[in-house]
Amino acid sequence: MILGLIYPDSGRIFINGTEFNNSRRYLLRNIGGIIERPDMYGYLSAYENLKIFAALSDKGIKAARLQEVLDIVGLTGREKDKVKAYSQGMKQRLGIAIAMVHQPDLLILDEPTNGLDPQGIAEMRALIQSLSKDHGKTILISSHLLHEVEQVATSILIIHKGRKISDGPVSQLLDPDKTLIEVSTPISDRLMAMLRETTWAQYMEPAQPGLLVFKMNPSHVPALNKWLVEKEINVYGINTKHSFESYFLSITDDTITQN
Amino acid sequence: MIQLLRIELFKIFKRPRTYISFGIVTAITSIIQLAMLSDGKSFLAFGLQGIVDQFDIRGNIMNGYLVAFIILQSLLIHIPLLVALVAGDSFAGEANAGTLRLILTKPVTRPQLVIVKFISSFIYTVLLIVWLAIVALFLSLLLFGPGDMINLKSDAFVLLLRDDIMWRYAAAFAFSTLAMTTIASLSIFLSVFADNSIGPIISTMGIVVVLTILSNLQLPFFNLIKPYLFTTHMIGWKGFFDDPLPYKAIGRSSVVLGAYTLFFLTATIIYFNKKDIKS
Repeated sequence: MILGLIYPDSGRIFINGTEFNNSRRYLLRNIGGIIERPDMYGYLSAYENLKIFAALSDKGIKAARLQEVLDIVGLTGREKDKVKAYSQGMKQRLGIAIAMVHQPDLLILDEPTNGLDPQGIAEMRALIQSLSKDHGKTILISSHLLHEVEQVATSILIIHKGRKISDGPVSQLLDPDKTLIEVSTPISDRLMAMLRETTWAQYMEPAQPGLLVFKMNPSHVPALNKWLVEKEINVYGINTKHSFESYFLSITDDTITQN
Repeated sequence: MIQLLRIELFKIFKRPRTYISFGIVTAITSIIQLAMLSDGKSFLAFGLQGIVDQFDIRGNIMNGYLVAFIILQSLLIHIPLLVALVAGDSFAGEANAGTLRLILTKPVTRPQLVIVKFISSFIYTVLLIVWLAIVALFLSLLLFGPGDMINLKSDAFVLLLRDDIMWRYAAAFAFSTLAMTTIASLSIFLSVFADNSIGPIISTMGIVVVLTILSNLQLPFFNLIKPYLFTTHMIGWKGFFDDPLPYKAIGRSSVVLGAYTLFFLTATIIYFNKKDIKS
């Protein structure tokens, strides 16, 4: 919708204070995007694809810029290969190159790690961070992969059931003191009674079958583990749930309850 | 707009599929030419059996002009299919590949894109017809030589002198280009509704086949609608091989084909401009 592919049922879209419908061509000259997957012409080479989309951006982009962008995304040496022979990760990187070749102020990346293997995901994460830090790009990422978002985002906006339910800087939204810590252990009345008499009680969340749940800073985990061992409690595992994930689940659960 | 057109043409002519059409035209014409070389005389004898008793026909009757005319008649259905192969793919192929979304995230307006796809399909059609002229007409002239041309009709036969034929072919090819442009605009129109190119290609051919059958049915009801079917007018090129030339009929057919083309193009722009692009 932000890129004008789908029309809104109601409301208007503003980018940097300019209404999209009135200045579509002007705004799109300064926006780059990948939507879900990096689609391009498989029968053309990466360089030809890049050249086509650079020409479409209407900014008179020179060959040197094409090469520069290929360097940034790490495709130099493979630019003459047909795109149909590319791996998903290479296509994703070429997609980024296409999105940024015209030096846009804003990059919109929809699920940029879709279909990538773990190495590809790590490379994409590093590329996104580099584009932001080294090239000064503002990047808007839309993703369901909360852990990935948490690692690269500086600000987060959560949309649930079509409505914005939360937004703000990561440092404010993701309080490490609210990280969920799950301890796999047999739950007994004796254990619960002992816990209620300690300082751990203040961090406790409702227990689940075979699972103690604490909401606290992960730095407390060694001390908790030590206490459990001293009390001869069998611990089968301790799982630290990412703070964004727990925040997201808590806020969307609340919303569901409210609805 | 020019830049966008250059990109469209680059994409069309970089794709191997585009050249299949040129290959098919070459193959069909070559097969017919070979058949005429080997058995043309008996074919001609069969065709002229009703008139040889009344007329003394001499000279190079099986000449390049006649062979080209026979080839063009037999390609009536094939050429629309070849045009639809490219035009039907124009939007649906891009939607299937996902590149339509990427194009529309660039500073390109939707009406611009439709017009450019139409112009590029038109250029492809012109090149296909030019290629057809080269292999069907000029190659036939090379193989069979020139001569006066006999145009056998159901109720008459027309004899065209060799010096009076070439301009008729030029006009016929120009008219065919208009007819095929109508087919291209229909294919493009169908293409904006689909997410893969098979649908619009088959739909275009289905429409052409059904309407061609209706255009040829000799029933009173169909006689009423025939003048409004574009398929009735697609064979208007044959008029250039009549004597005297049916100017009115050719002019009317040109107007109908032009109107259909304009209608399909306008409908495509209106629909595509409102469409949510999800793939």
